[in-house]
Amino acid sequence: MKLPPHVTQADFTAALREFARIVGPEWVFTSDEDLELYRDSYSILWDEGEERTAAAAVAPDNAEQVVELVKVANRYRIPIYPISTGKNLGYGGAAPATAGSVVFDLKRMNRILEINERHGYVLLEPGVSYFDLYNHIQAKGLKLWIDVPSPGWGSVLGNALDGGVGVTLAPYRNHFEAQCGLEVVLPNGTMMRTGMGALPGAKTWQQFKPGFGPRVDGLFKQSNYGVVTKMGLWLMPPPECYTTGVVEVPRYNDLIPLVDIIGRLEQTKTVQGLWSLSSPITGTIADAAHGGGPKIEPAILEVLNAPTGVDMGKLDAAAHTAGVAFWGCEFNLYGPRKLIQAQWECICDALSAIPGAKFRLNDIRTLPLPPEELASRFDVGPLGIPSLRTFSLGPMISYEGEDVTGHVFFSPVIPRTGEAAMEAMEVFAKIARKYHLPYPPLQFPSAIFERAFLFAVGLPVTRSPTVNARIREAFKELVAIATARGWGEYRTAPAFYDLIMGTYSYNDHALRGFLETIKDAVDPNGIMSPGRYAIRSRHQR
Amino acid sequence: MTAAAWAPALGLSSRGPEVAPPLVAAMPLLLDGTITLPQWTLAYFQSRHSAIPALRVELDADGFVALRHFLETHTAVAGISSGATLFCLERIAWDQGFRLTNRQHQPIDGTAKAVGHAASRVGHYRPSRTDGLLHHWVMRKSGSAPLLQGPREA
Repeated sequence: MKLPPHVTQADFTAALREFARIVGPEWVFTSDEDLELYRDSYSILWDEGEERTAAAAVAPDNAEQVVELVKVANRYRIPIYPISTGKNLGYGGAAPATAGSVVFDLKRMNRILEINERHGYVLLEPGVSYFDLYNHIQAKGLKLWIDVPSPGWGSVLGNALDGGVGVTLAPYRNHFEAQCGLEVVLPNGTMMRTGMGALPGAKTWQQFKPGFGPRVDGLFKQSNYGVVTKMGLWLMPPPECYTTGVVEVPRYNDLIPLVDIIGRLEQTKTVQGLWSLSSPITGTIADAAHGGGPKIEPAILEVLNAPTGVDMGKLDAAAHTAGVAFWGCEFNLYGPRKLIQAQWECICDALSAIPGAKFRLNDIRTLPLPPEELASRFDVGPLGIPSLRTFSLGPMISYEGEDVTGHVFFSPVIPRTGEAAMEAMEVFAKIARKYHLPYPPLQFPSAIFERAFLFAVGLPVTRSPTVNARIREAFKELVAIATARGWGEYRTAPAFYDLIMGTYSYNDHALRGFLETIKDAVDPNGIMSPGRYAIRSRHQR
Repeated sequence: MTAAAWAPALGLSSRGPEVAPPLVAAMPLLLDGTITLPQWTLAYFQSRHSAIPALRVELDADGFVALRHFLETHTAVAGISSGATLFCLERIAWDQGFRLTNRQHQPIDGTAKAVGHAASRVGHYRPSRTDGLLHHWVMRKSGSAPLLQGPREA
């Protein structure tokens, strides 16, 4: 049996015995077969000495058991690693940040404690998945929508704490920003509630985020200061109607005014739905996952496939000659029919400033769409419906002769400007060519955040240590290039926690120093998810 | 619901010989609803096992509920699916105490004989270039407690 670091066999055995007393022996997992499920399926360190695997797993049923478990872990200095459903593949899965940790698997805590249609919120436990919440709302016939990530089997609470995002309306897409009130078991076993929840008998825990005094909720995002056992989340009323509108602008440099004008529309809340950037010249409309679109002109294809990379000047000229717009932009529009029409009118008015801009509003559909139509749509996320369809995008490919078994995301946040998008496309494509990464000729930033672009790049993961080492080198080079430009990652896989935290180095790593000071104060024994997001207590640094 | 009862909805391909999948015995069956299944899939089960419980799995919210219920009511299930669907099904089934115990794969149109291997325990299915193939597999409940036992009341 693997032991936690700096823990004796006798202490570990005693701790496991106490864990079993608290949760029942059937909920303590130590066999190789069971612990295999807590490996990160997409680990970039698979089967290497540095792969972080669990020494055991414990599955409590409720928050009171979590309190008792944490106290035992503290007594024996056992590192613990809480997970909700452990399915954030590409960002670490269920595997701990420190090898030998005991995973606290919170899947059994899957109660929806309160759902309030009148005020639009839910209070739930970590084990509630997007599927669970969606199906609960459907079963109860509630007039509520949820914002879902892709894929939808993950935990609502876990996704928010990990900094996850969805695809519907801006106020709900950033899942941590949509949370309202946490219940947390601190490393010393104290149970705490944030915001209005600190008031015994509070009637507004899920209605008023700031609470009284400092707002500490953010300390529990991408961190290791406690086990979050309950979370409130704001939900939205279902929109009456939905449609998409497509704008095309002809020239490469039109991206700059396009992004600026849309930015103003977003800042004024005229545009609230997610918009997607694409290029009609690549044969796709909006997200490549939609497929279809026009055939690629041969002259354009030649420029796209140039071995030295895409020359944007030549591409712009080829597209212009072929009469194909360089950029496409698809807006998701929600609300009453009148609102959608008004939004679209505002969008058209504003973007008409770009010479040659073309506009097409698709049919405004009353929601919900018929089931047979939903079944035929690849992506139902924009309609607030969770699915796993992203996994059926197609067979995985090979990389350097090895089967691709997963991916890790390189996820820099770049300025919400056309200039930054162009620069990112160019510099990241260059690295992709250097490492022969599977990479489309044009990769687009995502407008999923409200004021900045996300430029996520999925790098392949294999089962070959040699090939994975090469991918890690590519990742490091991408990070270095991004950092040099002032672009930082918003989220990363455990193998890169330290690398990324190291880039947030302003004033001699003052931020990390502050986080470590908090860690030392609230978790002096360093039992809570040591190393998660590169935060460690004093004796582990 | 039985396999035969799904006939109108399966969207079967007419290509391929009527080759019975070697691994799939007369046990409750999960059929991948995200791909067009070859003709032999239905023919085989209609002719031999029309009464066995079967579920056509979609990777969506409704499918998730149906799958959980199906797994709750059986201790061993066989399946025919793409690799991508198997990757998802296996992870969902883990939480209900199932482990993949056997797997084979073959071209999805059934034009070649089965390749791959059967073993008493195959471990996890890992994504690979075999994702585009058709997989026949068996999952059985292990002795470990299933972490998910349906929605809980508050």
